[in-house]
Amino acid sequence: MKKKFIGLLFTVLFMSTIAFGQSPTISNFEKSSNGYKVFLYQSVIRMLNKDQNPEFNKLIKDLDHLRLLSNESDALESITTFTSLDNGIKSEGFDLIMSYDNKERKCHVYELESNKGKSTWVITFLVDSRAGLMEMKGTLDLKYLSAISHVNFDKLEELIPMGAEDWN
Amino acid sequence: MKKLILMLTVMVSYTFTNAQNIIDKHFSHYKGADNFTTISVTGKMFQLASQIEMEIDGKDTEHMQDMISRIESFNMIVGEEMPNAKADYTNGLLKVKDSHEELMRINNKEGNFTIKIDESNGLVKEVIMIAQSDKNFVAFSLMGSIQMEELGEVVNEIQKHGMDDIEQIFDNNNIDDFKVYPNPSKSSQNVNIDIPNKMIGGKVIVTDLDGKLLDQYEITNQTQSINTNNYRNGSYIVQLVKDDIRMSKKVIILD
Repeated sequence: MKKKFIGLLFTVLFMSTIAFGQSPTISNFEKSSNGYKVFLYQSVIRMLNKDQNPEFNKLIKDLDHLRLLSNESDALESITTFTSLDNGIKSEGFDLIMSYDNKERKCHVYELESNKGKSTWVITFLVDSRAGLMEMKGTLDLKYLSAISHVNFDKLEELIPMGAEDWN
Repeated sequence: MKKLILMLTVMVSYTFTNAQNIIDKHFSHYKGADNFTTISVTGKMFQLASQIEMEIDGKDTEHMQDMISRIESFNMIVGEEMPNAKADYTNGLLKVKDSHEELMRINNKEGNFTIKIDESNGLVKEVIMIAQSDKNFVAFSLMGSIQMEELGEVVNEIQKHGMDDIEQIFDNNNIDDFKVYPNPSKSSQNVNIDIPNKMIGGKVIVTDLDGKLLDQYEITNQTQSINTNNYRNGSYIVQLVKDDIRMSKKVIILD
């Protein structure tokens, strides 16, 4: 009986870590990755609104943060990293929403809905020798998606120092 | 009794929600192969996409958003540099021979292209396309609740995005210009056909489901009427045929 209770407690604790806190897969990857580690809170994302467009603010009003993590290695190790990230995210109960796969490039979009209605979106990716993930906590108000054209890309490049050509 | 009803409901719902698309059912062995790209989009993504306010050429897109929200899944595989692409195309068609009706087929020197549907009472549950051009092979499945009259719109939208090789085969053969109405129809009234301009000079062929020829007309303009007085209750296939292009639609005749 005591064992069962401890087991139940452990499960509940583990589940709440996933639902309300950090994903263990993302936390572990953050510690081990050697590439980009970019964390953008809503307050920072607001700074990307180049002409203070009100619709851009509506678009991101329920967005908590964005996080980009990547790892640079050879092609073989990148596939291993991608597979490990992907399996980790899946095992945490995220639902696969969309996927694109071929030999060199992979991109999987996952969503985990919490009981508070806030979703966490995770995109795992493999682009040549770069594997990583992007996490988005919260939601975008898609009615205002066109306001994304008001993003100041020069400012974004300062925050995420990478050439767009690397990601094409 | 209540338990039995509940159990049956659960079983039916399970069967419905787990209906497999043709990519997972017949082409999953290609997944992971070096020369293949696979794309999969779930209904959730279409639900989200339907919330995006769009404006295409100034047109109202409310109808398009509604249609998108009824899509349950989209799956596609694209194979490149396949030595036996044509054999894969033929085998692919054989696999769906009995489960899906042919809607359109084009066979010419650029390649081969077939659209098939799983349809019941004017509602399309799955539209599939299998195509081959040179050493390339493409198959896609779109599942949802799509009205027959919306189908051309959906296929044309898909065609516009990322299928350049196939696009030249499609060319101007807009299948939404091909209409058969009223459908269902009564044997006492004529069935009317709207014909795409490009099919003028070809033939209208009417067969039963076993392929038995019932009527044949030369296409001289963009409309044609069929006298169905002698047709029994049942389903018939109306085909437009010209050179290497064949378009098909099913029509139901009631007494």
